[in-house]
Amino acid sequence: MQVFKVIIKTIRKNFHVLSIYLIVFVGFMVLMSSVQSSGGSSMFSEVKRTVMIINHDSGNVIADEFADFMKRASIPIDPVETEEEMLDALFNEEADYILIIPEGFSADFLSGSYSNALEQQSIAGSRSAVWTDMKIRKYMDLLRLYTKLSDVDVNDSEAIRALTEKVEKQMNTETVVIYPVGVKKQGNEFTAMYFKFMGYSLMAVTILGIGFILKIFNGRDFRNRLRCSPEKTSNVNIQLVIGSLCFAAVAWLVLILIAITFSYFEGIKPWIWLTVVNSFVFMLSTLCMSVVLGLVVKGENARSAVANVVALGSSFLGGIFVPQEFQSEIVRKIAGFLPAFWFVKAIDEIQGLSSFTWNNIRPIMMYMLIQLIFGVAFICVAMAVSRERSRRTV
Amino acid sequence: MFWRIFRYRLISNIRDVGTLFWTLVFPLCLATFFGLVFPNITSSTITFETVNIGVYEAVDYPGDPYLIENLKAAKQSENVDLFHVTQYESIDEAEDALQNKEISGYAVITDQAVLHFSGSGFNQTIIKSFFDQYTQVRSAIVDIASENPGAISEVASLFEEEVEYTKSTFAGRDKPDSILIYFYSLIAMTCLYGGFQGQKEIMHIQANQSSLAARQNISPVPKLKLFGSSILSVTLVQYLSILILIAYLVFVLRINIGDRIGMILAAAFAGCCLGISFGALVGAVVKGGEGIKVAIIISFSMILSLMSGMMQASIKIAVEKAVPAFKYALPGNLIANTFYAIYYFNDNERFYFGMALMIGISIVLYAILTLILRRQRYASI
Repeated sequence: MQVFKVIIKTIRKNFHVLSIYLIVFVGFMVLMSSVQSSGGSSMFSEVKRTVMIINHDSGNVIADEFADFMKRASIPIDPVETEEEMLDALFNEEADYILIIPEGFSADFLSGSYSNALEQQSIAGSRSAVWTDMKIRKYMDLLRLYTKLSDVDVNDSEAIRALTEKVEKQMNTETVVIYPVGVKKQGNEFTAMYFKFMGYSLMAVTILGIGFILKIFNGRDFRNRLRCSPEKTSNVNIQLVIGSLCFAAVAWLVLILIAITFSYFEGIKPWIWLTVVNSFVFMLSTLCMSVVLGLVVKGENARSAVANVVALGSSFLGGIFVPQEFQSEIVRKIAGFLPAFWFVKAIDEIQGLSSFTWNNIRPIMMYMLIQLIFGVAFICVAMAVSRERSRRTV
Repeated sequence: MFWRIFRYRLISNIRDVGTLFWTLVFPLCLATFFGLVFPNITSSTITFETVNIGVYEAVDYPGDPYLIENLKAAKQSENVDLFHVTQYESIDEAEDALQNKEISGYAVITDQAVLHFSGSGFNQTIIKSFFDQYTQVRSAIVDIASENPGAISEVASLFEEEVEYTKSTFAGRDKPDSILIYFYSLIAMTCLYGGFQGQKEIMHIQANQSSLAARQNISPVPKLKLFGSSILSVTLVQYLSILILIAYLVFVLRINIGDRIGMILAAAFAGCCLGISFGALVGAVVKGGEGIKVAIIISFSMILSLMSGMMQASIKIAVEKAVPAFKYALPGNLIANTFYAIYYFNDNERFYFGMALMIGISIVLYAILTLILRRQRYASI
């Protein structure tokens, strides 16, 4: 067990570096997961937008009732005072739409001239602008219809209030929607998000750790010393595999235990165990990839650089940081050559499972199998590189 | 002598592949990942695209001639239709199209419209909003007719009248795009990574830090001249790295970071000086090996990049909302916000304030450095 002991010693020696990576990554993952997670729903629910409503015509029935309607119809945002703050709110997406009701709007509307229009600030041509404009038009069209076609005295605020109440009543009339039973609007649950981000952490730590191990075993003197020892090469290789596997498995176990702890508070869902299996398969494929990188990359700085670039690159392209549905077709095609892509695809599929029938589980099994095939391919490359190295002179 | 040292330090810095990886190649790799992924988010989540909708009209229903006509005529803007309407012969056909995601939903029209969706989303919301409006107007007309039958003849003319209820008063210089936060924070991170260069240069002029510095310290060159030429060479290399990154963002990834080139170049230079002076100060103040100094610089850079929104734009927004002073107090946010001011505001007040702070902090850090480094003597190395 000499080789295995060397591996344990190497990991212990570099434990501080790996544990920093692990602790920082876990903190980072928790932060990212909590920022990105959102709940799901099994009913049809309207997508609402954030609207900042600034009423400069308050005290007038039309302006006040309209402002109240917009507040109910949207996700209202506290108004700000300066133009700069408004621009900041739009840029940072705190408000999708800023609606300013100018002074004298109500009187102008009742007079029928419509010259003192509502002021708006939004991203032209954006979904939010289309949605909010529709809401405004809906209300204003009905109000215009009632004010034009009803004999109402424009100075009689009670009569005007009665009109706005009629508009309000009409606004509650809704079209019937048939929404299939069992369909769940997919929300990003905290645990599912954590499992995705875990892929990044697992990759970075495994590539670095295996890099440390292989650096020792690929050292010229160490390799020559091993060759002249009575230990069989097959024994050395088996111990090397077991040692590396143990290291990767411990890193995986630590991350899984944290995930289970979080999901315990969130309520353990039945799909979580399938996600655990998926992450184990991903760990195996990442381990194989790390072996190839460990063999190919030399030097302390280069190893750290490769660990960062490969882990970040796979995470961005594979859909760990940015959902795959937002990626372009070309990016998705490129990402198909990364195990991380299939890892995330499996998590998305698992999260959307309505029942655990073989038909539903089959695509998930396929994605896991693809990850394993990647692992086998990496091992073949590693064996080819290793064989080429062994042919070189001592 | 000044220019001779400058020349050799410049050659040495250009050949230092390890440091150049972190200050140039790594940001370029990140920029590529950002460029591949983020612009698509804008188009798929922010920009409106015509909604595909299916319609099935029941055979035994006489039909409302205006409904499908209105559906087809609805516009988002002058050139963009709100809906792309496909009429189906049977409900099964429409259901198949829905399941194949060819349409976002379909309407079955009898004496009332019933909408069929397979999920909740923006497109479904727009479809429902349109049909709600249609139903509400119809209901309102019935309501008015019951009270004032004579008014009905005016309805058609009222709907023909085009009224613009809103007008845009957007006062920004360019279109708001929160995705830019990621690219600004990437530029900020690259500027802060200049700290590696600054730390390395200090190591090369402190005799107890490297053999090269020991050799240079016994030469008859004043320390200030040594320090000045080293910092100048490293600033040039780092500034070029930032310019390459900006050029890559603008010309290769086609990211619009604004059209005021002079201001962008000035902000990049100020950010570069801030990063280098920070690293140089860490190199001079922190006692210990290169590893500890690099660890401090990398930890600070990563935390500051995180705060400036590199991993998640919402983190920057939350941090600045919680403590508004962090907009300018955190170096990463300061650099990112200066670039943001160039892109977004017509008023240059924020830009000048950011520039003054970056240059002011750099000058203070260099002044402290000069005080620390001057007249240093070594009893034993």
